[in-house]
Amino acid sequence: MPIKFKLWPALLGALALTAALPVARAQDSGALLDLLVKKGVVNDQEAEDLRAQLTKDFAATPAGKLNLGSALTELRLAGDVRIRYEDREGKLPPAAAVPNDKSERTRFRYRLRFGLYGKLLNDWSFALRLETATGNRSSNVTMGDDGGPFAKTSDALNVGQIYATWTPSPMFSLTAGRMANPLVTTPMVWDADINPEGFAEQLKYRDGDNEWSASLGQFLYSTSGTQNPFGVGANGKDIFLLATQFGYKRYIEGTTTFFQINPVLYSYAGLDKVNNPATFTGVFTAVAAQQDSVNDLLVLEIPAEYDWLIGGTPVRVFGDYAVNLDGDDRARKFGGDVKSGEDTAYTIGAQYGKAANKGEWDVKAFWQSVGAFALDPNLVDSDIFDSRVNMQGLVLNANYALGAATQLTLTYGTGKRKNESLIAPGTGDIATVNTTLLNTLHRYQILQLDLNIKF
Amino acid sequence: MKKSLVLLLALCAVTAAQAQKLVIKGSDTLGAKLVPQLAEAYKTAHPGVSFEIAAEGSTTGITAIIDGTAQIGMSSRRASATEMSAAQAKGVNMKPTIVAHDGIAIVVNTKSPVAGLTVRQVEQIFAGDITDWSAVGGPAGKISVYTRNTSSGTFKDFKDLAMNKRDYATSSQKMAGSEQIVAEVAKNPNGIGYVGLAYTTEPGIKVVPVDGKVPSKASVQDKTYPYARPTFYYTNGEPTGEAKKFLDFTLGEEGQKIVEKVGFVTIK
Repeated sequence: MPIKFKLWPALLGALALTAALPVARAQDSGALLDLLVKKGVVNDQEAEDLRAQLTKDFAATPAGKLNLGSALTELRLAGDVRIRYEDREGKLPPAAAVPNDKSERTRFRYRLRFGLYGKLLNDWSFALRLETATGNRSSNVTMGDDGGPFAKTSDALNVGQIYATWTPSPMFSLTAGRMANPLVTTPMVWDADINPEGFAEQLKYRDGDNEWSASLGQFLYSTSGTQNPFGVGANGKDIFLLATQFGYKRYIEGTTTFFQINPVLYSYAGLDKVNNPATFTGVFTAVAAQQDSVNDLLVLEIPAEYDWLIGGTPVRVFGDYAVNLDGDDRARKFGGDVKSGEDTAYTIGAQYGKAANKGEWDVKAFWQSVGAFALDPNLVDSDIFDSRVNMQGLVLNANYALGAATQLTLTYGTGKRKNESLIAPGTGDIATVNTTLLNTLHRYQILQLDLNIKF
Repeated sequence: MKKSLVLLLALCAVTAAQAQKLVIKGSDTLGAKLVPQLAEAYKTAHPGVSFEIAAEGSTTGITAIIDGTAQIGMSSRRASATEMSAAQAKGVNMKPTIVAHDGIAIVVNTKSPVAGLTVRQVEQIFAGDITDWSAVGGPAGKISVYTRNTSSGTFKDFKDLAMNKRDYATSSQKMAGSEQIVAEVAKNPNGIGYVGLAYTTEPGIKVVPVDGKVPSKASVQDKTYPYARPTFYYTNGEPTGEAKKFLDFTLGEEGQKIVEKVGFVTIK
């Protein structure tokens, strides 16, 4: 009895504290109320009255109005907003019809990405991310581009990611849908905005300081529609991009000093049917309409990086090398050759610092060179070198954290056509007219100033 | 003329008094047996009162209080936060009163040799992780799971108390009331279901101990039985008039005797 007498003021205090917590964690008080009843501090009906009052208080909060599915164990809302000023310039060669003609495009742009991420019972999870813009390699909306004062024509939201993941073990996951790129790669090969559609399987195993991983991707590059049409129509096939990646990561000191290398092989399946979507199956030639073709691409990419600390500041050197093992055939069909390294691409650079918290900053510089027959021009980064291959140059980047969720980013890139005897194909957006002419781009530079807000 | 008027008024007053009707809606657990018997006993002492009792699940009882279509809402579960929110939006003050305690019993066919289950096994069976009796010590045979339907308070209480809030197996068969669950399990040697204490003595079924405990007056009152729960009358604020009288009757000595006789556990 003396224990009870000492206990109940403390318990009631704890209950009051629980009820007063933000977002009214009232429904969590059940165990405490049960304990109070068990200790004889309150009777069942008094506990019930209190429970009802706490539930009413909770119901008055925004959280109390939500009614989520019982299979949901976690729900997270997250996203980011970016406001960008961009200037990109291109110059034609001296031998062009209009020698040294220049194209300049400045834009104010914004981007919204808003995601809903849920964990479910039985090792499943899902994601839905909405993004502005319809392009595969950009979620930017250019301000004032939709035909009237502040019209909303180009301001729609689209499904950027939608996928389900099954993770039966911490070592294995299977993802299906339109997903974030599951591969370890760089913008030299994959634009970071691309969310491939299809399937991915990932394995990861760590033993002490050694970590091995494998990622397999089967991405629907393009569908032929009806594979076996009625009547005399010829059969078609879906085109798949298949990726097989193996990774090794060596932890040298904690998680801050490590080395990792992640070779990956890309191949394309389903190209053998001539009536497949022409965009990607025509032979890669100088004809403008056929510069997206993916014939004779068997690309081996080897990204690697080494991270460590200098005086407590994170430092990173990184590189990526890629070679098209079918480069000879791709060059021959185009009418070129690969003698000058046109079947290879590489990037090498370093980063100092990491702008994670308020007042922190980082700088990064890298050199990139991409041969005309080295990579899939439909996947390369859309900003650095304007979505084109057969380009090389230097990129500088700096970030400053205005707050834990707010960053200023400055990026500058300057480059030129790598091999002037070949075109620099790609679907870039330096200009909206004379796109064929732009394949003979001689010089290129880009400046971007971003305000990034994460939530 | 004056006499006639007085008589007419007196007649009207008597008619009004005799027309007192108490509308009670909600839980099948309470409304199938207990509340009708309470109502019969109450009517004996209050002959001018009539009852309209609709036992279609706790959700309907809570909704009836929110909508103002009943004076008492029977419920074998607590109102959820969203229901409380809906009530507050309509200016309704949901007031729960515990009228009896109950234990949700796990029942199987009397022919089943299964002599006990663990809390974990119960969760796995009703969630569909375990589908054959051989996995829990019984003879090989596909388990037939019988549950209440979604408007039932027991349906939700059982998810909260026994299933870690997981969803029922998709193969589970949803029954309109406890009596239907009893009838199905009594017919099916591979059946398993759950019912309130008041239904555990029906022929053809037997109660399976869970972690060695069976629901009883003692184990429900001291809350050592894992699936013990209170049952409620919900009213809009403190009850008044005939609703208050009926609630007082339910909580009183005579009412609680009926509670015990029907098979529930008294509040004291």
